[in-house]
Amino acid sequence: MFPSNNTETGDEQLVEAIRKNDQEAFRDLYYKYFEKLIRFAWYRLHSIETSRDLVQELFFRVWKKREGLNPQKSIKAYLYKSLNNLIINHFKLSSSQTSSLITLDERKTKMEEAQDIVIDIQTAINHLPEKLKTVFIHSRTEGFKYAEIAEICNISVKAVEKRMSKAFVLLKKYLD
Amino acid sequence: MNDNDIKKLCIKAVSENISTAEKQLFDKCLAESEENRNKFEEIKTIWAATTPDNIPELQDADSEWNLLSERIRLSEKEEKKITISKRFFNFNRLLFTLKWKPALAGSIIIVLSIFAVILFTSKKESQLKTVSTANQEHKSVQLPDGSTAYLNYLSSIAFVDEFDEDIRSIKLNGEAFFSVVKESRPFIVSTNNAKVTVLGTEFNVWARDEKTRVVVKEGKVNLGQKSGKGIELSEGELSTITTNLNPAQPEKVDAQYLLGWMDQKLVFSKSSLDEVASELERYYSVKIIIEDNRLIKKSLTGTFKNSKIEGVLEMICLTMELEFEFQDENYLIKSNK
Repeated sequence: MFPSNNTETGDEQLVEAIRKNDQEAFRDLYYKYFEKLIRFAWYRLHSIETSRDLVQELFFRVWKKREGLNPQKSIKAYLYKSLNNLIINHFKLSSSQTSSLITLDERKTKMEEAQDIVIDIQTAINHLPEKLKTVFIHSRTEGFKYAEIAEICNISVKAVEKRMSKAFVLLKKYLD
Repeated sequence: MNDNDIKKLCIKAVSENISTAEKQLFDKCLAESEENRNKFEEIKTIWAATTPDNIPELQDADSEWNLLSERIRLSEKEEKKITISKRFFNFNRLLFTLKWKPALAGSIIIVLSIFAVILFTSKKESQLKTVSTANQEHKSVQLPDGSTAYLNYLSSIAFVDEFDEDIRSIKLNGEAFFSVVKESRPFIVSTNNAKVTVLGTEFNVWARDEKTRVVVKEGKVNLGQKSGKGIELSEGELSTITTNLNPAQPEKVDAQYLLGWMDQKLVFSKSSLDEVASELERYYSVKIIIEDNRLIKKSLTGTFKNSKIEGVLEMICLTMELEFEFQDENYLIKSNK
């Protein structure tokens, strides 16, 4: 599932050790990635609180499922993908990314139209389709290069280029 | 080079993904036509408009790691207990399937009573209970003295399942609302950097990010650093402690309202428009004037998690066929008919 186009050295050994219950290695993995991951979560959530909690949840689960880890595959991609899922779940469970349903006593209108109202650029980015949004955030806010983004998202560099183009097209529409 | 390829090069250029060879090609394209240069300008504008916000200071790695390893340690302790009690249960089953032989009867009884003693004495030891919530989960927890804790998401409390004789002690990380039964034993909530002491009352504790903030709904609480005197908070008061500092002067607040605020949500439940306006005024520190008196009766139910006042007003106006305007430092809301 995740090709080992690793942009990181040493990860294979870390994962190998973690599988064998090596807590020191797990700690090293944590220190290596946690800040980047929190940063990524923050740009999606804009809450340091939630970001820290989700990243903690992420690593907790990684430790719990350590026996199933595959050293041949990119742990970095695995971490980002799992974190992304946690973030998506968080959004699903909380009212919404911008604002949620308003119902009048008279039961007038639904709020779907409101979702088309884009108030600011953060909202515009948030309205990007999931795949484009992730790639764009990795590039714009975290400054990852295409090769790294390709690894994290488990796609080819060409696909990264395509998604960036599409993101720009949509953002242009929002800003006009 | 078609349009798409040129666009891709422009994007690579702004995002610093362009190779030297590509750069040469790119510069040529720009030199070639005004159209290409305009395309690049557009892309540059979008890039500039999406400058990321500055991320606030992160917690340091060590304390984050400590929280995580503590959580892992506690959960592994829980698992061990479950495994041991499972083993015990299985062994018991085994004993009972042994054929009852008079000769064995005596020894079996001895074995059983040894087990009974062990079981009995180990039950005397208080066990640490931890309850935590996941994303967007709320949990209500019954405490050993009959008090309750209502946990907000991603929070955890820890306590012994049989409170001590002279003290009721809870550890909290995150947010919880406590309803404490009045007793002579003090009830103490400890967070990373503070402790809240009560005898019997209702209050909200928010403990994250090196801060502990307490809002009292009913009764009185004492808020202080881990050691030291602390200050007294009464009904409707709020104070915050930052690590190693003394608690802030209590301020008077609307406790009910702030309980929703702690969720970082604005919650309206059949609120009239002017009630909504008052809360928005407080939350965003703005002034809102409702021009048409008839609008005041309209009722709203909804939840907002939007960082800008304009967005919230826009949502409200859209649904209610109103419009708003910013004039002389005030937001005016009027009908759009």
